[in-house]
Amino acid sequence: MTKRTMSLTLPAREMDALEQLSDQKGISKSAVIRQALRLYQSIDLRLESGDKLFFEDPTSKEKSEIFVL
Amino acid sequence: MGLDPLHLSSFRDDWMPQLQTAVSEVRATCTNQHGVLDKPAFVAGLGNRNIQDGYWEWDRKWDLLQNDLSKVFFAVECDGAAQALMVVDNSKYVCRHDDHSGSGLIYIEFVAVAPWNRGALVTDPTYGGLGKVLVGTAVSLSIEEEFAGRIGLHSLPQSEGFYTNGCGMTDFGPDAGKEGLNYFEMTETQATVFLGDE
Repeated sequence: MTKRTMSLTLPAREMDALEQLSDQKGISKSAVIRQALRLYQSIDLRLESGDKLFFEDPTSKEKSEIFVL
Repeated sequence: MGLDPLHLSSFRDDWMPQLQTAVSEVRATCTNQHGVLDKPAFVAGLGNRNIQDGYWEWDRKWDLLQNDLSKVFFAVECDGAAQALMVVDNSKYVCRHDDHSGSGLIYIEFVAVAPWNRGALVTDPTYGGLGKVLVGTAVSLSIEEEFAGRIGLHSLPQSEGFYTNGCGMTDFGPDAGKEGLNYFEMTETQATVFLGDE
């Protein structure tokens, strides 16, 4: 698979969040970003088709709609 | 990685006619004089001839999913034809095994070999071992994705023995969320053993 390289500048708190996710998930920061990109595309496709995105509280079953740029 | 026009035309022009003929033959033996199909016998018959995937439309899957970052397609190509096909997911599934519960894995969505490579369908298959080649490919992708070789899949009944005995995967039993298909998973340790055997 052809790969291309980019450099990424992040504010300190976002870099901290990225490093924390990397530690939590046991994968590199690059892998976290790639997973985030796949998730974003997946959500974007569903939203474009008219679907809505919700979180559901497992106890109360209350739903909260998520809005994505 | 990815399917090209050769793979798609090979599926449409070479795989489909043979699969459709075989499915029709099984259907004919399971249909009574009143035209009523014995569904359990039909499903079992498809399994006996290793064609439970006979209705999978690989060209349609490619059309729908080729730009989806979470899906990766593979083809084994030889002698100017697609000898086997696979599509995996790299982001939407997590491990169920206690050793890695909640960790990411590569999930095999669909995998199939060409009808002329199936021992249950032809007397003298052209190529063998393609299932293992593709499972090995999924394991290698899992390592590349930093999932340490972990893979998962739901198996057609006809293939359960292959994943358990042939690949050393753990059988979690029927999954009600996937039409009762058995769910299988390969741990990091099992992946190491699998790659060592290949």
